[in-house]
Amino acid sequence: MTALSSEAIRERLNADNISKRLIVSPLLDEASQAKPGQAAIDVRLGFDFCLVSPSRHGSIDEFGNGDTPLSLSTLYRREFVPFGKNIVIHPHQFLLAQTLEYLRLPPDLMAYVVGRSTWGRLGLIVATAVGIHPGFAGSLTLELRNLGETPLTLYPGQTVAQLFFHRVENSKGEPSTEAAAHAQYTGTVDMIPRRLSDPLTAMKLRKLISD
Amino acid sequence: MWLDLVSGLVDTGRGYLAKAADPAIADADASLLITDSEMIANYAYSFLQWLHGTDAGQIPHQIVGPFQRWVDGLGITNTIFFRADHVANYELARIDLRALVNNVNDASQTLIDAAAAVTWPFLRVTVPSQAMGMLPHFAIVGHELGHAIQNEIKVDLSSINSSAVIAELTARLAKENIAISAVHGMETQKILASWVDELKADAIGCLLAGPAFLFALGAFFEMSGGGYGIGPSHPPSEMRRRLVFDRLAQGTPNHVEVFNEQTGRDLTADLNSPHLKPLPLPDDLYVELKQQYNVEIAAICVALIPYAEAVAPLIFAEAEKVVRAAKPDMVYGAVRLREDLKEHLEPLCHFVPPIEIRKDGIVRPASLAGILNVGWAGLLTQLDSIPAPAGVPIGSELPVKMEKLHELLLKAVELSEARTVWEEQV
Repeated sequence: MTALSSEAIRERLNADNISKRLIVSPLLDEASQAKPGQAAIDVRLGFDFCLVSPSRHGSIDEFGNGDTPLSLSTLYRREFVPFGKNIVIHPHQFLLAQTLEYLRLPPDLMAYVVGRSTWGRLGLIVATAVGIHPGFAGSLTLELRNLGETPLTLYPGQTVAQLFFHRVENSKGEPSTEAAAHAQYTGTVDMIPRRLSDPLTAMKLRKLISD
Repeated sequence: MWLDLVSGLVDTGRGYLAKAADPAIADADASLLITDSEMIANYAYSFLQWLHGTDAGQIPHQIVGPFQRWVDGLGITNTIFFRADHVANYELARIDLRALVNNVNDASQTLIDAAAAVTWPFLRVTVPSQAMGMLPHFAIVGHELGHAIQNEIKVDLSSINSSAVIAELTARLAKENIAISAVHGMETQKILASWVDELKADAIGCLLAGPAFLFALGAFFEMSGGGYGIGPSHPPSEMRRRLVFDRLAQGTPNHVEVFNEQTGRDLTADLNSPHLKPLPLPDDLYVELKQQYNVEIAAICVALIPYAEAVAPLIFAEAEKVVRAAKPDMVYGAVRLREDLKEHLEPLCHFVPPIEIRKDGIVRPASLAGILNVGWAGLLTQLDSIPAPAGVPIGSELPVKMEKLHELLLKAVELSEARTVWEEQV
């Protein structure tokens, strides 16, 4: 599997054809975020955060309320942190954040979001769901957890993660032209998940549970 | 700053209570101080009420920064805040509390400092009904900012013959057995001044936001009731909409041509307000207005319509001079509309918000006016091209798409502003 070099990434950022264009916007400092000779693009911490509230549920149980779907939004409290302000993540705390950059992948590219090693060495885990599918459009949600022993002060605009891009090929070895249409998170700018299972899985599991 | 004023008042009231608690003070004086502190607390509470609709749940916080850029660009130095509330009309309130603050006995230092930090009068822009829940409707805020600078737009009306107004008014009043008098002349001047101020504000909105202003204005007229909008304070809605459209159709290239070229859809005055009631013939309008106003007011309003139409081009021209003198790039011209629609309209249908413009290797942030226009163009011409997310019930696609569009546009406002702020740090 080949990864795109920063030169190739830049080429795709400037593609005229929207179906071929890679969108990572805004790149506040393109030169330093996509350094020559590297194979990734750095992304920054955005302004929106979700703090996980102590749950009123005994556990997060998708099917615990019978036929009533679990409302995941009740688990979170939103915080907006503008430029110049900060948010502290305490040891072993978990919170959701967004990349400042809005991302859209063309059908023939997928990406991995990976924490920057500098932050990792301080104990900060940046993402757990690291794969991004072709056709994804939206702000990336980062799942932050401080595994260290010291509180970390985070500022919007800090580069916390990097994106690696890979070509996606069809069965003939050609660039894929099919993206996952109408996916759950297409065009999403919200961090809070809407559902845990797809409707078909949920329906079948619910049936199995009730039997 | 507003909350600082509230805190200052509370501190002042606390100071009174502290004095009243002094055992050395006479009971009557202590009682007076307690009463005064209650009055101050009431003021503080009423000040808080002015803030209704300013929280992030009402007005999207992302848009406040870009609005402030409009304010600064127009040279408005007054302290200002924006709110969205469930009220009937857009409004620019001028709040001057200097007399109150200056007359408070033993004002706290925090109150004195807070009042000194404000550039008075404090301005409050109100957007009704959370701007119909859609970001592009916020284009109409340009009109309210126009009111803030209306006195700077000097229009010489002497070149427009007003004798027809007098003749029309005289004839109409004669039929009611009323002889025209100086009082009617003064009332006519007063109504004309109000109408001119509205047209000045429309001109500023049109200059700042281009077609987005026309769409927002038309939608507001349509949603604000079934009347004609004409009265002593406002000229008729249909005429205002047409005047804005005429301005957008001026020059080469002009906004109307560019919109057609980039969207494939004709830009007409009523594109976003097809149900706005057209003005009836003058005699019929007069009969209807008499139901709402007295005979003289109704007659003056009817007589002023052709005059207001004639002076409108002067008003728009003078308004443009004022904006260009303040900051030339605030005029949202047809060339910029073309650039914005060309760059962003198709990507918007692929869920790419209009954050920045990438041209010849140079990237710059999208303007608020650009985002509003791309938003309207998307709403009015591209909803069929925007895919609905999975799992949306049949029949609910349209509101879901509109909500998605709103979210993307808000994200564009947030991130283009982020880019602008970042570039300002040198």
